[in-house]
Amino acid sequence: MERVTEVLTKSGWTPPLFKKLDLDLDIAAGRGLEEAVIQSTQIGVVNSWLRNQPGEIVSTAIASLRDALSPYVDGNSVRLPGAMWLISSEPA
Amino acid sequence: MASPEEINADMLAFWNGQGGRTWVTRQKHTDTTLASVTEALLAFAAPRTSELVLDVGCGCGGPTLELARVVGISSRIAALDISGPMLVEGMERAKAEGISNIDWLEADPATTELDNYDLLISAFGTMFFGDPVSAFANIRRAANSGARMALVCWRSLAENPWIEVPMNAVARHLPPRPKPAPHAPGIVCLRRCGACH
Repeated sequence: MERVTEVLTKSGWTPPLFKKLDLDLDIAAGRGLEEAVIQSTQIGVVNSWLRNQPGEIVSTAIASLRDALSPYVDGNSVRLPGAMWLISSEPA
Repeated sequence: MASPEEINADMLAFWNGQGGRTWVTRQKHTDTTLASVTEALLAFAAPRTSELVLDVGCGCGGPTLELARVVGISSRIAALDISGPMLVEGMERAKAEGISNIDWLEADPATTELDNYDLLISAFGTMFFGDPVSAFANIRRAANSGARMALVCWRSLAENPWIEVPMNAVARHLPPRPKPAPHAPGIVCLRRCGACH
């Protein structure tokens, strides 16, 4: 929060207001565990980590990912907590 | 640590290359996962009819299109992104829905001279600026009197198991990676650092 405030006030904005937003996110988009695994390996940091890795390592890592997500399966959804800031400001 | 120019060049290459194309392929899934976030952001931003809106880092246009549905045709939305493939996806989705009040602009909001706006929104679109102070100063210059900003960004990794659980599961199979440099842009808030926790 301090860093965001510093960036915004240095760039001509009023000190921002922060509001917490906590939501469970269905990373399967209602399409089951395998879709959650695919999404997690194609979008975001994990995708960049797995890129250019040997196939054997990728397979093992994906198997671990599937195991790690299994406890969060709820029907066709895979819901995990997400935490965000809603940030508001105005020109100073 | 990479310079702001190097960071921006990397971003441009990623979002116009395989990265951008993958996000287009996964657009429907991603929009579904983040639908409740979009809803919360728009409620927080409280857009009004006839406003000029700037959407920074609009990507494939999930929140942009929802915003257009909410404010109606009296408003004009400038939707900016550096990813050509994602903008094309947004444009095609708008066309399919008959939404014509969005200008899809392939431009870097950090450096482009922007049209004036009343409301700035961004859903995770401000976290990769190479030089965030310079970028937000540039965006500030186009703000009309009384303009508002409404952004959403991630809090710490520890508070985001949906990101951290897959990362931890995969990380133990990979060689150790260098720690990110302090102030480096990242998915958590405006940067990956303790100050945002």
